[in-house]
Amino acid sequence: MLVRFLISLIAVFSALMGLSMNAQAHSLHVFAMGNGDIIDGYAYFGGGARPRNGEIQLLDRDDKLLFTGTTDDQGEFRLRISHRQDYVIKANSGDGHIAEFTIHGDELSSQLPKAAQDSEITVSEITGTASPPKAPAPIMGMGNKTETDGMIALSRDELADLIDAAVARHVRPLREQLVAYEDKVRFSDLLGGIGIIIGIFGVFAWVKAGRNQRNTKP
Amino acid sequence: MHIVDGALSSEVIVTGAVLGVVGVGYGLRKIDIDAMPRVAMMSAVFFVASLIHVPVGPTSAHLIVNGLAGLMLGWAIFPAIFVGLLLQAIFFGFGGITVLGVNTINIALPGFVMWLVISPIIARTDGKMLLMAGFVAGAGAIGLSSMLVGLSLAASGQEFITTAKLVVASHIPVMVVEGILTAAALHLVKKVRPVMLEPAGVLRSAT
Repeated sequence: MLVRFLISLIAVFSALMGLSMNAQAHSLHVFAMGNGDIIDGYAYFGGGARPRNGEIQLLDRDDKLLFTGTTDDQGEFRLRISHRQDYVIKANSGDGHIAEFTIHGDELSSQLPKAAQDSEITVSEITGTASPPKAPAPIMGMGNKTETDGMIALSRDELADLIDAAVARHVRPLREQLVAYEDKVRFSDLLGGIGIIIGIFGVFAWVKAGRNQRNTKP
Repeated sequence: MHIVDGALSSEVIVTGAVLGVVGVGYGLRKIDIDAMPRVAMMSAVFFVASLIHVPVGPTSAHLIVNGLAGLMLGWAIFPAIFVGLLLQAIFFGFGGITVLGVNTINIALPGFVMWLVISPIIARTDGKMLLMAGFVAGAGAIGLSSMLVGLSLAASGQEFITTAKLVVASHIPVMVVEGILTAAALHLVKKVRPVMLEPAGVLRSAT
């Protein structure tokens, strides 16, 4: 009877899992990407909701706090940074959920000076434009192009920046998908977990039963 | 409801771990062979239910079923929740290993309290009163859990009122759903197999 109840319960939950495909851990996640001299991204909960006014921290690789801000109404944030190095974004929704995301220095513009041990890194928040940048982030020295016969002469650096921005734009959805895929709770994991739970208590029952049997032997 | 690694101060983590060990240890001693399938089942139900996720307003919530687990398990809710949390932490990075003790207490203790308070009532009532008792147990366990989460965070340096408001507010829908679910489950179990609500074996002799 109990076993039948257990089986039917698992069946019901299996059906539920099949229906709701957005079964994800109720944890906070952060996604961010470097683009030029801008780091932009967003924080989100497992179910897809975004934390408004969640705390955002930018740290360097030595866990030194560089910047503290909050997410906007869409759970997004945009930060302009002055040096190229690895950064860590930390988000805290205030109810016990914290998430981390690492941004590699390679994602940022190669024109930015490399951060040294003693370099003063400045971080500023960009507000107003909530939508992600369509055009590449303007980097110093751009804008005074010489135009002849409809052809634009670009310096090597400007071209590199444009290519970086274009690649970043196209790679972004792919990376978002990858991160989301990694965070997803998979049905096989769930079944495995249930199996392990039954196994743990099974072993426990076996040990206890063995002791009882020994005890009752004449 | 699941606090993650790094959100709490070490004092809170240590306190939670000590309380957790006491709860799990004592709970394990209370499980005998008769109660074993019940504990395993509720542990599995908790494990799965708290992974299914519904977006609610600005956040997203999931069921916890600690009220129902408490009513059916009594002391044994501590090991049941602990095993579920351990697997969630290992498999999904849901919660965390260092905060296991705190999370176990935050979730299991309210269920245990509901068992102490509501179980004697359930034994005597039927019909509408039984449904009411189930609702109170389900909703109350979530409410208490939210308060405990708020307290844990407050003890780690966050401001209590704002944090507690945030946690409780995001769990109000869960409280309602859990209340209804617990009432329905209780009604069904009492009708079909009332023995499951009675403490079994060692659990029985302990009360």
